[in-house]
Amino acid sequence: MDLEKTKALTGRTIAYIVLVSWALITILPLFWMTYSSFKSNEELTRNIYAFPHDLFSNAEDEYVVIAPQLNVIPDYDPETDLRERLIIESVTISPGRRLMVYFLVKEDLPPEIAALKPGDRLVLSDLPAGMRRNISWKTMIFNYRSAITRGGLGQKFINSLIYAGVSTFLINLLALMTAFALSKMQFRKISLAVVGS
Amino acid sequence: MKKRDLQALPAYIALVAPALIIYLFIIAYPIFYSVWLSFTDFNPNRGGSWNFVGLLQYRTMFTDPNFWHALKNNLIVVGVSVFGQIPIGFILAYLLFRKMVKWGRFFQIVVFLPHFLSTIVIGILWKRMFQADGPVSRMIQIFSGDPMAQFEMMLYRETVMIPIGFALIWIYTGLYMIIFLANLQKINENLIEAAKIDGAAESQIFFRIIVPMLAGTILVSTILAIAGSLRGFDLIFSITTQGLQRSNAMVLPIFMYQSAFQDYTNSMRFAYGAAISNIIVVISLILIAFSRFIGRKTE
Repeated sequence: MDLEKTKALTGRTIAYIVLVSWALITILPLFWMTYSSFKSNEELTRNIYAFPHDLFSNAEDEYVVIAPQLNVIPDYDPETDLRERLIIESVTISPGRRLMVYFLVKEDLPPEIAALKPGDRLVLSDLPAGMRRNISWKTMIFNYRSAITRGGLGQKFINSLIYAGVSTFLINLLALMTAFALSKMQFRKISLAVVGS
Repeated sequence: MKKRDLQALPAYIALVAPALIIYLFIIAYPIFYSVWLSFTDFNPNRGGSWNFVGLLQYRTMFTDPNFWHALKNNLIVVGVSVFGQIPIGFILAYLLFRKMVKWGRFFQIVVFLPHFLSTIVIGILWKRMFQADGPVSRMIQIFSGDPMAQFEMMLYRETVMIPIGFALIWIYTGLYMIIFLANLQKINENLIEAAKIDGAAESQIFFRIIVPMLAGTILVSTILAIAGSLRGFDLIFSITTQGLQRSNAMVLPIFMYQSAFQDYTNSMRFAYGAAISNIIVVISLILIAFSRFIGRKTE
């Protein structure tokens, strides 16, 4: 009886070791990939293992005011929305690449900030609270926003959806039609030729 | 009777024709086209002219050392699938089926998790894992105590298939585990209980009851694995970098892609690619016939 028990126990232990190590091999790379998606490019180059930091602790991030240029793509419609805006770009995350750019409506800003000229610097905590929270939150999901806006993920997702939906529908419809005709109607010989066996 | 038959004929045609036409156009026609193409020197860039060249493409292929290297690597991939993914998937499914562990559901989801990701993403992920300064190198450094140690298997022609095989096992084991688990759950519990009462040991239950009852499933999985690994393009394409590393880890689909669409020095490159893809089909059929033969023998 004792032997039986030790046998069962060893079996259980081996099962746990196998499954837990397999689970670790599966989860750890995915975990690494997931938390890396919340890091800025610079952080990723500095240390590929570190947990995300720069995008989250963004309260004291510095920004520089830039002039409107062709490579600064507005996130509003400049045709209909004619309010003047202050364009700021981060100097810590992708500096100079016009990726982390925010458009602040001048009416909502305190006058001393609205009067800043291109090249002047400001810190995120200088901004009004609502704007600060908005930018802070947008900074945290910066990579995901880039994927959707710059990478066009939305359109690609719709394309996948159309592709999956249409193909599933057509495959089912055609398969049902053909299967019914082949199995339930007469014309055995033609059916044999169609199926090919 | 005959008249009723004829009345039903239009309905029959209406039901069968759409699927049949689509099938003929996108499956049957390309197959015949690629067989025809592989015996010619057709090149659309040169105008429509073409002539039969017999077995020239096949002769070039069989004298090309890259082809034999790709075939060897591809057979390694098949071996990893058949003798790695399927047995491990079977063992994991069995452990879960006999309820040897708690949270069986959790382990089931975790092992199947890689299958939800795109193969390209997985390829890039494992490329990063195996990089010279990646996590695997770091783990070797920690365990060996040598701060200069690196994971070098991805760098050499002889060993590059080892990490790739590992990544393949990582992705597809979950799929086979789910297939086996679904079929194991169809086995009547009473059978195992009866065997236990008759005094069968755990190993006897496994080899005398479980394995014979799943023989059909194992055969189907083997065929799936063979066909899948001979078509497998995306993982190896994305896990290697263009150039030497990719040509070291070359498998037949990548060899076909490169000779058909990237080798601009060969004016008959489309015909050559068609010949390679036909050979892939032939090898796949031979291996599947062989595994069916083995399956029938063991029954």
